[in-house]
Amino acid sequence: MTEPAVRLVGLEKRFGDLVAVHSLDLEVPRGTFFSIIGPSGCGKTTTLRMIAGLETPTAGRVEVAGRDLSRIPAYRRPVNTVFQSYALFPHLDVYENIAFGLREDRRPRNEIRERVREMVSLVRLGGRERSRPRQLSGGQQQRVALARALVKHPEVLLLDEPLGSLDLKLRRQLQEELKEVQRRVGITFVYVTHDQEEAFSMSDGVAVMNRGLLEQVGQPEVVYRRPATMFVAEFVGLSNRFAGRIVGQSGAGLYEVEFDAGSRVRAVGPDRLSDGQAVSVIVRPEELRIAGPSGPDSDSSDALRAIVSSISYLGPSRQLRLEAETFGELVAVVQGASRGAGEGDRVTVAWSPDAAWIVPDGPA
Amino acid sequence: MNFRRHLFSGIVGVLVLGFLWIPLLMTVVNALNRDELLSRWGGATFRWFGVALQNADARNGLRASLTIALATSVLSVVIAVTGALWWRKAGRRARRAFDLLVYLRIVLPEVVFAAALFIFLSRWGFPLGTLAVVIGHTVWASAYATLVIQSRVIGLDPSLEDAAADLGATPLRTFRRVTVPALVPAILAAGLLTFTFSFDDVVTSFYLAGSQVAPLPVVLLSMIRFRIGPQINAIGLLVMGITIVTMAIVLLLVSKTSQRSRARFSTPDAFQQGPLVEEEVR
Repeated sequence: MTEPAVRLVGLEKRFGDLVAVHSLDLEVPRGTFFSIIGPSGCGKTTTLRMIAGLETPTAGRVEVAGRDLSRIPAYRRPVNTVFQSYALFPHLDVYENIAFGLREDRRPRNEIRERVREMVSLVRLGGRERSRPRQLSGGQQQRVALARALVKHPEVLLLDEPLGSLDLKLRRQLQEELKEVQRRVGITFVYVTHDQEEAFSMSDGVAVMNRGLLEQVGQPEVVYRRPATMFVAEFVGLSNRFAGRIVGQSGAGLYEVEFDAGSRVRAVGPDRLSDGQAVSVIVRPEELRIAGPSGPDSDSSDALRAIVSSISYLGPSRQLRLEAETFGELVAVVQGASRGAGEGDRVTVAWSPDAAWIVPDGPA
Repeated sequence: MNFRRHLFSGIVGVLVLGFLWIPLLMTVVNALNRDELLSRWGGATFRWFGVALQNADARNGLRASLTIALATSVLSVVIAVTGALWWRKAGRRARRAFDLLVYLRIVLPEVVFAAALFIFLSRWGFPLGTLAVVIGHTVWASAYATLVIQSRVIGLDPSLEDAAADLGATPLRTFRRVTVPALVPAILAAGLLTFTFSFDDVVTSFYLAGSQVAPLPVVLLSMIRFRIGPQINAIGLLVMGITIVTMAIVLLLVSKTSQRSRARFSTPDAFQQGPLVEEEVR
């Protein structure tokens, strides 16, 4: 394959005693929409700023398109950034904001006009060229910031929580626009956000960071269904967690797990788990099957008995809180809003072995 | 009842206002008084302005004062911008030291600086005159300019400069295309403020002007010692006029830009209290 668009090698950043980013190795494939997610303070923005050259790494290096950028200042890097606060120049109008980078590159006048016009229509801001940033709505400002960064045709576009200050509806709309723009221009996007849903809906690849460490890299679905650590499992969505230990292996990646409560289940897990190892079994709420006390799963060895303690309606689906006999509280999400178990009902809960994923208990 | 309660403060208020404003009023009236001895109102005339402007000392004084004030304000603003931008990136301790040096220049009596500079310059054989006065004025004027510009720098969004660098602007270009435009209102306000401070200064000018140069306030002082005539009042009115007009422009700029800047550069309120508060300190 070709060079990755971005390669981070042992990248590290310390602020005094604080390690913001801890020896990070990461490759972002060319032409993809790649997200870095994590809670605030996990080092994702610092990582982005090091790629942009706005922060100097303490150790390690940044490569873009195979070129080491360590000795190259921000203003000569082939990357551009959409800032969280947009950072539009308040004394310049929309046109001049977008033209800023091209003027710095001393492009010919005609070319500037051509490329700015192209961008204005790409982000649908026709007619607003002479407006000042403060006269624009949040969504429009966001589009100007995007156009201003894209107009330079960077190797990589960096986006630092660009939708953070917009309301939900606008966010959704701009998420789709961003994805659409990325598809159309084919530039590699590196997108930083704390919103996993946002990241999942747009990204080809996701990296999850926590406390300066990279927890997992992969496709959204893999990260969601096969989290590598408990942190990832909990950060990317609700999950039911059962503590237990490995008691046997039955085929590649399929294990027998004994719960602390005594019962045994089969579950899928990563390679090289050893017998006796303490693990957690993760089942996503939408993977739980709920049936009456004598339902189809009642004979299954994996089935649990539980009582429905509360139900909340989420529109297209319902979220059930269940009190299981030996496992405590469970969360299930079932599709369809009308029929099914009611509060206080006795039910059986089951899942397919494929939906149960084993996460080794780490030190953290 | 109400009237009685406020009677005392009313009287004090009137007295204070009168004490402050009557001398100024007298200056204005007497600048227009036809009676040369100023012993009574002899009718209105603009004659004394002509006389004053024909006085070579006054003319040279005006020219010297304008030159000095202009040079002082330019120099002060350059120092203030440089200092404030350094201050923004400096560490905690360096910042505190910087602030201390700024406040000292404002708090310490002007006469101390003037005398110290006088001794210092003559020790090193530096000639007294226009340049010496400019240096003397800049010592404290730049401190006021720094306060004004600092308050603007605080409100400066650092991500604007990041964005400029990100889009390919070298540090120098970023300064020119982003930082300076953001500071323009503060630069103008600081410039005009230091201009007026320098223009009506007596103490420093008196010490450092030497025998060849006499700025207008110094000329005025020596004329008063000789004889108080209507042309002195005329000069006083001129000086007042120049000062008031400049200050009015400052106030206008400050109030206008601080309204606008909230939306533009997200400046906190600090800017508004800039020059207004500092003027009282002097």
